[in-house]
Amino acid sequence: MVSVLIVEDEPVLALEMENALQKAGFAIAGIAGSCLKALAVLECRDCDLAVLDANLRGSCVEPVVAALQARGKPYLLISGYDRTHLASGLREAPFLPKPFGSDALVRALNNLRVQAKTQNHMHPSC
Amino acid sequence: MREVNHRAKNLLAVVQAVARQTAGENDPKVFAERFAARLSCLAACQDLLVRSNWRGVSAGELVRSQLAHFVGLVGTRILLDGPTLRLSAAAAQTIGMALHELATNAGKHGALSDAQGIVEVTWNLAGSDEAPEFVMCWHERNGPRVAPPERRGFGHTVIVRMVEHALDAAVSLEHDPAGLVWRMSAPAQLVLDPPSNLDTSGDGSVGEP
Repeated sequence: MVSVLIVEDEPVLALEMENALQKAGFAIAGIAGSCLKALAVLECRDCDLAVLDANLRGSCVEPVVAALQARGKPYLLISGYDRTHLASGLREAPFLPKPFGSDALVRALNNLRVQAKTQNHMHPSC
Repeated sequence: MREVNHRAKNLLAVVQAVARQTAGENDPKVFAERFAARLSCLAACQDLLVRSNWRGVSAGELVRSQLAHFVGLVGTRILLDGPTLRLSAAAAQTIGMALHELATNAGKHGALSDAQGIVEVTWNLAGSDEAPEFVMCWHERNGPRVAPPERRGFGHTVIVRMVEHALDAAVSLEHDPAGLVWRMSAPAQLVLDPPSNLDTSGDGSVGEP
């Protein structure tokens, strides 16, 4: 089962995403509301994908992005900010603007998974 | 302007999530009623935060704001007791939503559904000086006999799981036949605003008869 790390500081949204992803057949690797907690989850548990709120109570999610990139894990950014207002290093990442429906989230994560597989296939040494 | 837009979209996302979760458990008529009540709860919390310029909310004020039409019972059948503590904006929204669900449940099935029941809401700081904990308790008694619910809806998620996740809290919910008891205990630094707010000299008699 594909496992997803949810990083979102709004608890209603985090739990709703958990619910939607579980119904769609994903496993939840963990839920974190801050960078610190997300990094702690990554230290002790593996995940296949991550969905990240770009802004966690005023702090940028970049440290979590760096940790995921180091592990070669694909991620989806979500935000109430327009993509152009994100930190420059995040603007090219797969992005879903808030608010979004559960279907859109599941679709975006499935696309992410397929893309990651294709890339791994093209670069088997990675 | 960018920040206002961001906050508005986040709030819309929360409203959307609350709508979907409410829809999951009810027929359309009940949905409209429950959804409106949940929005009022979010709006009441928003009012308090705006009034304090997003610098947190006093625990006593937060409890009163979430009692809705039961607020007139404060001092007689709803007894509030706790020191003056300022809760952070994020903690206020989470605890506020939980209190709203507890009050709604008490009005439908619990101590506020008849003419005798009593609810005690208490909060305080506990634990050691090095690791203080914010504790809050919602304790119903003298009401109708309580039976555990047949199924768990969104209210249960808000009262237990949301508080656990958002505040790293330990939460217990007991359907004691004598009355429902909800307790939460969370690291004070995740609840209070500013985190060093440890002034316990305050309004210990809030709402007491």
